[in-house]
Amino acid sequence: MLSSELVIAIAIGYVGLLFLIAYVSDRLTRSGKAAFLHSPFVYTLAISVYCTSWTFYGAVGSAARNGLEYLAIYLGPTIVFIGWWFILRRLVRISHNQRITSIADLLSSRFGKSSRLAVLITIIAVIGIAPYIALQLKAVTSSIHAISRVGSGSIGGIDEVSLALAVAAGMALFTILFGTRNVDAKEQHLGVVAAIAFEAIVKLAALVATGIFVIYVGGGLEAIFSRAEAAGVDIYSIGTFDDRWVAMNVLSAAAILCLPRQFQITVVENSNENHLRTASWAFPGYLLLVSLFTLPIALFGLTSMPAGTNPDMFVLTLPLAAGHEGLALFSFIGGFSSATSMIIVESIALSIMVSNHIVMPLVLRFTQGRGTVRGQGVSQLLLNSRRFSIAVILGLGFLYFYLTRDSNALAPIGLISFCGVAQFLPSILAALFWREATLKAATAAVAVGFVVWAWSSFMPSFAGSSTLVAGIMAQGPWGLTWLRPEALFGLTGIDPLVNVVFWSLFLNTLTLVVVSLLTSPSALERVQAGLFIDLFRPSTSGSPSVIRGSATAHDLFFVAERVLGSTRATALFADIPPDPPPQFIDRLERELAGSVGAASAHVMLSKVVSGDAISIEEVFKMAGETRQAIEYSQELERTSEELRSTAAQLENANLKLRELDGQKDEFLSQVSHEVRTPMASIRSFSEILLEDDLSEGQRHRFVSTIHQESLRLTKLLDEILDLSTLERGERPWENVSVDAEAALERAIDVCAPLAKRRNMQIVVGPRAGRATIEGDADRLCQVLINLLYNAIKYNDAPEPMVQARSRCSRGRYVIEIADNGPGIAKADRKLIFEKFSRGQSGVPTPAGAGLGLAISRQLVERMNGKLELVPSPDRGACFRVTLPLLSR
Amino acid sequence: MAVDVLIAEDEPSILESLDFILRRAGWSIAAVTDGDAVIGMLRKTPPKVLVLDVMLPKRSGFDILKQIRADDMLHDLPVLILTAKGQAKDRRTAEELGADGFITKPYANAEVLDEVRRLIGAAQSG
Amino acid sequence: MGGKLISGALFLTILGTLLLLPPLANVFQLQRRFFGLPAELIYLFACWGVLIAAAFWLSRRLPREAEAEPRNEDDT
Repeated sequence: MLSSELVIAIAIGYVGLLFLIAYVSDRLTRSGKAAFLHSPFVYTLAISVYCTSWTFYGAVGSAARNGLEYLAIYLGPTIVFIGWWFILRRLVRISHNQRITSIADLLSSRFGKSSRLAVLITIIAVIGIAPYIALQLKAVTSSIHAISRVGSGSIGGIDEVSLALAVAAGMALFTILFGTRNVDAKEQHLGVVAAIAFEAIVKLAALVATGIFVIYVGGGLEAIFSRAEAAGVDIYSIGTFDDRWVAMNVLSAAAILCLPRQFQITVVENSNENHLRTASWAFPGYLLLVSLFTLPIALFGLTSMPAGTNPDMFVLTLPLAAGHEGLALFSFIGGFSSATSMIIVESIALSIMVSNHIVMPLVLRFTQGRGTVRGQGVSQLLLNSRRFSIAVILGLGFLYFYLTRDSNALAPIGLISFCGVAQFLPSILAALFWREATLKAATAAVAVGFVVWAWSSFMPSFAGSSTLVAGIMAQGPWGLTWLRPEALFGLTGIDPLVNVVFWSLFLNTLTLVVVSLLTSPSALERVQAGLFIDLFRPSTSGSPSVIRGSATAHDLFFVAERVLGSTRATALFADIPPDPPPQFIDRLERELAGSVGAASAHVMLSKVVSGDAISIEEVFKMAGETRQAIEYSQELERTSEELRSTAAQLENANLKLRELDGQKDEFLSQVSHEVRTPMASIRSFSEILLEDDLSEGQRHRFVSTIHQESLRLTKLLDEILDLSTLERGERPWENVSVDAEAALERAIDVCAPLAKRRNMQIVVGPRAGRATIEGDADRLCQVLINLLYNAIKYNDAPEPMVQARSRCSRGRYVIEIADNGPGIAKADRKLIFEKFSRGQSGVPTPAGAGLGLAISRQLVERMNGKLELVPSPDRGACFRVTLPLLSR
Repeated sequence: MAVDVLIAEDEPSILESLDFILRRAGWSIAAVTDGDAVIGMLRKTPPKVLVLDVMLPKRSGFDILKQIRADDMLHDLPVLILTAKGQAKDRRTAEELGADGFITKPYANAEVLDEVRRLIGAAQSG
Repeated sequence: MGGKLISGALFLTILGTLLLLPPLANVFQLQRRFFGLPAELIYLFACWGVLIAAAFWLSRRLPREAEAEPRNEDDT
């Protein structure tokens, strides 16, 4: 017999070893020397966290009581892994794409990033897992008792409850030290995974060793089975493959997907999708090895141990009975391994859910998002909330253990948890495959399943400790027998497990389908559904940006730093412009989602980005819920910081509007001036003409002035229209290949008569000869006429002349129109292309030319060219048009 | 040689119409088309009234008005501002600078005649 | 060939489910022992082993993404 001090000391020493493994693995990973940790086999071994003390101790007990039934717990997961291509691969891909951190996050993300659904899932998971944790506590305490015999040492007198409390507290401490050292963006814990993989080897080795020992001691397999048959044990598992077998297979298949720890290891901790490939056969292989010796151990125990021995502890008591204390101790370590690995991973996974989906949203709600958490930083807050959650989770496990301490078998406790988390399965499958599934339906379905489970599976486990529950079990509530938990809706005569599995999953699925058909998804749900379901369709690369707005990089960085820590945030913002593009906000959202869950990340960023009124509206539209809209707006009202930033944004917008208004004002005033000037002469001369005491010569002269001024007015109005359509880009425009030299020729021809009237000559300088550009021939001609016309009309030189020359150089076609007129004053060279430039300085820019150059420049730019005023060799002005040559 | 009205206006057709109607009303007229030339012309041939366009080349009408009001010799000269920028703020500027009349283009000939008549009368009586 | 293999994987999954559940599982409730072991025990473990072997075979042949999976590091 081993002393309990020794056993506990060994257990603590073993925990220390695990800690060392985790620590060294983390260090190795950080220095990049731990390639083997990224191996698919480490991943597979970590997945076998599925095998807990239930497997190690409980399966033998189950086999002793119900024969081959225990295998159902491993066959369901086998099927799921063999079909990895269809479900697991999708889950892993989605979770990578969407930075999913937990099963609550997954469902919340799929159903419109709903925080309420995440909260519901988290609460159900925490309650549903409590029995499972209790199972581990029970197994550890039972095993310590079994191996060391109460009373054999100074602490041997401790009763089971105190021991379980001590184990729970120790586990809580250990998990906190182990799993909450830092907040990783992807929630991956390589050190933990390494330790879990190590434990997987230990527990398998211990079980196999015990199995081989039993077969050796029992004189071979055949002898063991024969002896059992002779002793009256049903070795053929008669009636095993019935509805209960089916129910258990369904539950175990659901559990491998829905258990928070399995999701954590299989999906969240997955660093490479191809690791699933290996796990698809290696994990079922592990399960097969683990269950290979279960039945022989059970049968040998039944035949060799005294009646009334707890079959759950056969793996310890058989070696002890044979005097092999070393093997018993090894076996104990194996069982301890299986319990600790489950507790560590499960409570890490649950604590992530609790802190991301319950604590963080509450903090966000009550602290204005980015206000008061300033001093501490969100990452510290996250760590603390996780530590707290771990303590609560283990506390709940202990509480359940305490309340149900009278029941003795391990396996039925585990099945309660399996059935609880299996309520997520319909929604998960709908999330992956059914586009029409809605948030309301998923929420209702999970809630209905949970209620049925709580009534028919969870509550009955308290029958031993509560007479009220025992009464309900016997007669139903208020005497309503059809509500008896184990014979729900009058369905009597079937196994209670089948009863609850059937009713909970049936009503769950029914609710999901019916409510989905009756409700319609919000826009955001539709977007997310697309991302989940069209996962492998190439067209949906990257998620569409849902949050759009005008947050500055500074604001976003502020949030990112609080959540991700400054190192990660700095790296993330390395090359981001002050005005980050929507894709970046989207990417940031996913990064944040990795730390705080999709719903919280979405709310956080919405808040930051909501400075833009349009974006708030957009977010509302996406969220599609009035209630949410009200929430958001209340938030806005409450948050002075946001009000301030909104006010600043408004002021900014106002300023811009005013500026635009000012520009428009200026333009209108210029137009007014340009129109009024010719109008003044027209009106004045008309009045003079009306008085009718003029000579024929005067009359003719005045009429022709009116005529000219009207022409000028018309031209001006044409130009204004021309310019405004050009500026708005309304004018239909097609650039085609144009013979530019021909256009120049035409412009010269048009202007020649005017030049002749003014006694000037148009000197045609060196010419390019041939030049094809891409543009509009008429428009090019218009520009050139305008330039020639100005050069002719306002030339006051004694011997006025204008030169037109063209050339091709370096892929460009260049036309220059030079004159020997007054030229353009230096100060005005930049202004002449502005509309009504003469208004700016009172320089004698010719009347009517106010818009011509502005239009010309616009036209040339439309042809991808440039119109500029270049320094002229002699006096006068020289305008140059440069257009890209069309390469043949 | 003194004139009744000096017109400072750069638009040839407007200048022509003003010249015509004022001359026909019996006044003697001088004209400049350049902002820089206005002050020199005022000293050379002091008119009874100055008709001053705002948008003159080289120097704005308001600028010229300011100088007139600050000039010992010229500060009493009646000035009729003529502008194509028919905005209220131009009228206010003109009043603040001490213009005696303000007419926007396009104008009614009678309006110009009335204003010039009023200002010449004021100049003679004052 | 990916399509056929994927169909094969689906078939394997469904077949495995059918093999391990009643009524097929009950076919081997023979109440007889082979090599000293109950028939249904041998049947279940044999099915299990075959499924694992088939999964191993398939896992090496099912199509792989040509490139690394999108890891969101730079998918802007």
